[in-house]
Amino acid sequence: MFKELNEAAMVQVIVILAAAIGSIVFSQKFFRWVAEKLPGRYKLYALASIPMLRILIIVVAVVMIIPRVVEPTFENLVAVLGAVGLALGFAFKDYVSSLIAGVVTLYEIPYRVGDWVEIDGTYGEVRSINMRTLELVTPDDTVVVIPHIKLWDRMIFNANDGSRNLQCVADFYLHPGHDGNRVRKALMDVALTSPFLKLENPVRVIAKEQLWGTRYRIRAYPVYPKDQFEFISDLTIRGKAVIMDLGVGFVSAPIGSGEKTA
Amino acid sequence: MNSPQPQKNASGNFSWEWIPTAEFSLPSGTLQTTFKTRLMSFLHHRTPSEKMDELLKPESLEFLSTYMLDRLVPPVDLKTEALSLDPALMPWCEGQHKKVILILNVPHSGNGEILKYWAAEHGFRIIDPPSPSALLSSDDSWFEQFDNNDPCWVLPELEKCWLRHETGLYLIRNFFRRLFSGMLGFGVVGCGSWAWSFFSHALSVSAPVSLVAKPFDSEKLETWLSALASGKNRLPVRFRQADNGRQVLSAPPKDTSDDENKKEQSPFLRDLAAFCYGIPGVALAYWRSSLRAEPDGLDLEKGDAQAAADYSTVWVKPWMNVEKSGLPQKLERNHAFVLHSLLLHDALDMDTLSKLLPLRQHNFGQTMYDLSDNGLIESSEDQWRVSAKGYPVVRRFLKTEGFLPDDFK
Repeated sequence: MFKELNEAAMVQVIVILAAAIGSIVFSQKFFRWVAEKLPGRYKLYALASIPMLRILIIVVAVVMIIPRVVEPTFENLVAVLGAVGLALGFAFKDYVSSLIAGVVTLYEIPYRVGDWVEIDGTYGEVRSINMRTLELVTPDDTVVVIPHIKLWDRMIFNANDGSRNLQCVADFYLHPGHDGNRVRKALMDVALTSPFLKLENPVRVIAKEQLWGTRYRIRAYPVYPKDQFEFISDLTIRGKAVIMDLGVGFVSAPIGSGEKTA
Repeated sequence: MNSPQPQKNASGNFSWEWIPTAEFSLPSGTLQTTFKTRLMSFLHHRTPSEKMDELLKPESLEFLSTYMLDRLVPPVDLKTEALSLDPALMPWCEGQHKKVILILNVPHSGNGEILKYWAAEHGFRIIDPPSPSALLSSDDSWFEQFDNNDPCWVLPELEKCWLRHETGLYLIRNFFRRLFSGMLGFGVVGCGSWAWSFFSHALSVSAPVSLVAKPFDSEKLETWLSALASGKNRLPVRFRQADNGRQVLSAPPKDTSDDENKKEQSPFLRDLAAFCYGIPGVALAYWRSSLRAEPDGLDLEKGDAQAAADYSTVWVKPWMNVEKSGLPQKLERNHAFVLHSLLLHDALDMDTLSKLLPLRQHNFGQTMYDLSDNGLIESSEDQWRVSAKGYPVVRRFLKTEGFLPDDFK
């Protein structure tokens, strides 16, 4: 089944492997460099092409290596694939499952580099998509490595889904005895005057009466998705100042009141 | 939209021609330059500059003296353009069915100044904007300037009647409410194009009639720059491109030989018009910086009338070699915030600008320094604004980054 691995074949395999690894490393660095130079959405496209290119390089390398180590007959291929399948099925089930999920992500694209996603309660920006895992950077600057296998049975929340539109929400909890129209207008002006705001997207101020008071939510989009926390902070701080100027009081929800998002 | 048709003025001597905003279209550049500019802008946020095999090497050319520069490209007297607005505005002012008219002021276009001169020429009441402190105090006394008995009032700087601050929208909201309900009578409103874009998106306002000056294409630039260079005392000057000798502006008649006529016209003005979005103020700034002279062509220090008369050829740098304003090497969102705020308000003093932005004091100072150092912003009488030469690159940068630009794409 296996060919006799002479010196020339060994050298060829090593050269192919080296070329593949070199190409992967180069493509990662090159596309990251290009992405840094590109503005806005083009940056995301460049970063998203890295895992696709890596898969392509690996497939080409495997296709080139197999005929050099195995006699390419039907029986041999069945035997090799069967043995590999058995080994993987027992020993590396989750590992291979993650690899396959990694390939699936290239087609389904549940997340791309630069997206803000939440998986299993971890929220962060997708820093890189590897063969088996993706890396998130949380707002606390912690890198979280998550295997693609989560794709099969976990919900994935993608806040911007490949675009630069990432909605942010700022909450305000007010004493119910106030003029709602004035508060709503004031909060709208707070949103419209934030330099972080992406003006082309809609801005909403939603009011909802709760048992313990009135909740207002500003829903708006920042120009830069990475500024989402500073944007929310900006809305919150200036919104509080405006509400206080209006003479409206704040309330606190009792602990364990079961606050749910709208 | 019910808009007046642009009419030719009686004398036909005006450079500014007013058109409905819906008819606005930007001049196009040469294919080569457009491609290079976009590619370089795409990759580096920069405008291209390349070495060319020039007829006259750049090092052999020198800057013009201020005296010569002021003679060849004198400051534009916008007062003479005031009556260019008559055909577009007077029918509305004198008609029965009066509607509010909006004149959009693209940065450095001079439209706002022309509107002011037009109002003064006809003796219409000019409404001054409130002070920044009044804008933040929710004070209604500013509306006392309006008088329903006036046949027409003119508010030339609406962009100065608001601040992008949580308490700075009160007056402008109130103004639009009164304006569209007819409480303020008939008037002509001039507004910065960036501010109007903000009002359209954020406050959902639209003008019944809106006009803007037609952008200067290459033909118009040639006529205008030639007229400026000629002035009252027509100088025998030819403008030729430094690398190939092609004419940039048509030579004066007495100086034009058959050979000159046969020479192909340089594409410089076409590229200049496209790069500058057809804005005359921006084009003028780049035109001034592109003029050069041979060292022995004129005693630059002397600068008397006789020397000017002897001087026959002004060399124009090839467009790709003209130095364009560039963005700071390390661009941060703070730079974008400052630039966008300045364009929204046309001009702001440092104190007011700092109130509109969530920047720490040292960051704010550093950001202003970076932008000023790159020639993107400039200060005049304590008012900071985006510079004429910086405007094209700033506009492209802000649009690419996702900030709301004006509507003149």
